[in-house]
Amino acid sequence: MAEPPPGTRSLAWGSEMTGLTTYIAKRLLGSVPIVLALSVLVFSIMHLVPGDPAQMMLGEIGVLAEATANLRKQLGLDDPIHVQYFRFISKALRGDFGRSFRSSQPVAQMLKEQFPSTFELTVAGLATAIVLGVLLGIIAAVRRNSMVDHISMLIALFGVSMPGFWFGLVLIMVFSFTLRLLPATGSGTLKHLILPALALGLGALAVVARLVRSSVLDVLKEDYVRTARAKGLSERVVIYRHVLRNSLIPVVTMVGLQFGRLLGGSVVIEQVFTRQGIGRLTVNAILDKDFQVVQGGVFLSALVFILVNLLVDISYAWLDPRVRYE
Amino acid sequence: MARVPKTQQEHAGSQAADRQEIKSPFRLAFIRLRKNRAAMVALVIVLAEIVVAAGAPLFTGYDPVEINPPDALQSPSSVHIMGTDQFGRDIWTRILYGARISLQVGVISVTIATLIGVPMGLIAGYYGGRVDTAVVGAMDLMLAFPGILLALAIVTILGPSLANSMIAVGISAIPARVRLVRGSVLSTKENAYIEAARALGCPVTTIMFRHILPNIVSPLIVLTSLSIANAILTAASLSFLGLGAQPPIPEWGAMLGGGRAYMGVAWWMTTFPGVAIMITVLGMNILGDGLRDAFDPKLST
Repeated sequence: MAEPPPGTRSLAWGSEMTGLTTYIAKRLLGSVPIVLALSVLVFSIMHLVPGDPAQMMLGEIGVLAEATANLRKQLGLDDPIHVQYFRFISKALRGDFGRSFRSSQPVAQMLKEQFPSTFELTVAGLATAIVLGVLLGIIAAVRRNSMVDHISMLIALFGVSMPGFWFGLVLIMVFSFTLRLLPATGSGTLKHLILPALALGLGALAVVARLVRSSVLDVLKEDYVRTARAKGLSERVVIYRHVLRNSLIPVVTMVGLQFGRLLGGSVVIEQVFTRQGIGRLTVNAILDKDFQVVQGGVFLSALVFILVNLLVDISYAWLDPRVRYE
Repeated sequence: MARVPKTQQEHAGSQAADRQEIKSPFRLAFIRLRKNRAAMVALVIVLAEIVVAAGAPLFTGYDPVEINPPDALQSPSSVHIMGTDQFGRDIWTRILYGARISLQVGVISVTIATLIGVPMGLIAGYYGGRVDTAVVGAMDLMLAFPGILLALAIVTILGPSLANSMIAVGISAIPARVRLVRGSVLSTKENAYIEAARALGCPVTTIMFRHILPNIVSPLIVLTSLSIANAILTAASLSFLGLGAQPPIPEWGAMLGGGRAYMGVAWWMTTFPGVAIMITVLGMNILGDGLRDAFDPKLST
């Protein structure tokens, strides 16, 4: 890229924007093959599962061979595989994932109904993890080697090792069955969201807490922190103004990674709390052999994941210009 | 040590001691690991679990699978220390046999991942070019799936069963290995001794497995320990969802899934299998952390 003439601020700013635009364009182009490959993979689910899709649609028992053959023709299952793939992808691009084998509802409609619930749970889980994790990490670092530090790190250690679905069951036993404070199942209100979000966020919370702790400890050693203290600033100002801001940068990078992890985790948590959502829809579809729905659920989840990672990368490139020139 | 004049014999002895000072990286790592108290506790947990899994019938008088309706849903007592499930099966017995399954799942799926992932990483890193692009692309695709979803897609294709869940978990663990090995190969292959081996006409496989792979062994061991923990957790999740081990297999995740409906009346059905999973995963994770610190003291915090 051409060096902007010295002294022209607006031009320099313009070139910075060009750099960012180039980066975004490059990243967008880079995800095209991934999405294409993903579509091939999702398409092949239907063709790799044992059995004839038309047979599965009609149910397993005693169907006339003629009816099956008719349906095969109607669905285009006798066409060459690449013709079928192009039909699949052109429909998918228009948001058409076919109809459920079981309920005959359009899959896109089902996904649209279920997605907000999953999104809500994932965001709530992530928010829980970040808020509590950052808090725990800071306290642990500032009071290093104290009782608080040890307890925080013990929580973090249990957090990574405790299966989220079991933690969810424990929460239900304690808060729903014993204390009768919060509902065990269902969705809709904030009360329904608290336990699932906590169960989902626990693992990420532990990761965030450990990261923040070591990051804060690193920043505390920096010269500018010593300078700030030497200036006579109160400890509170030093921590909040100087230490915190700088030690939270690595947390930003991790958010994308954790979002994906939580999106995957929601599959299990939705089942624990009998909560509606994409994950529960997909799992039930797998158990029901309703592969049309499985395709839609897997495709949508992976797409959202790719999109979030893209956004995180772009925001990171925006925060740290060095990333753009890799 | 005080320096005193040595006799011939003493001199020979101290030479031997000097020779002992040169320790292999593995010995050094082991010495460091032994000083790490948490890691040693974790090692004991893991070893104890292996013993329990191997000798499961020695620790119980019950059968893990056979149903016994009159004993259904009994709370923990001296007869059934962890209570019984809805079919009257002893939970403690099922946990013991479940340890076998969990360890199997961890070891087999990580072995699958290693056998496929390590050669792929070696080849991609060593040859570079198009092979590398293809491998990295495939791995990026696999990583485009959030968390457990790739395993779910694979189980969909293969059908729900314990064996298939191991395959699914193993396949989803491949990218981590490929990345690690490929990265290490890229940094190792520029060394002069690799060039020398090539100049001497060493076959490529010899260079890969004898000259490059040994450099990667320690990070690979650490990754293995951590990913066994992860594999056990993911496979348990699949079984919990009904997509892994099928009843009546005493798998911990499946036990949790089965006990979910009885949570209000039989807390022991979900509490003990959960504790079992947690202790196992905790042990593997702490051991993995300990191994990492032992192999690379610079990284320890």
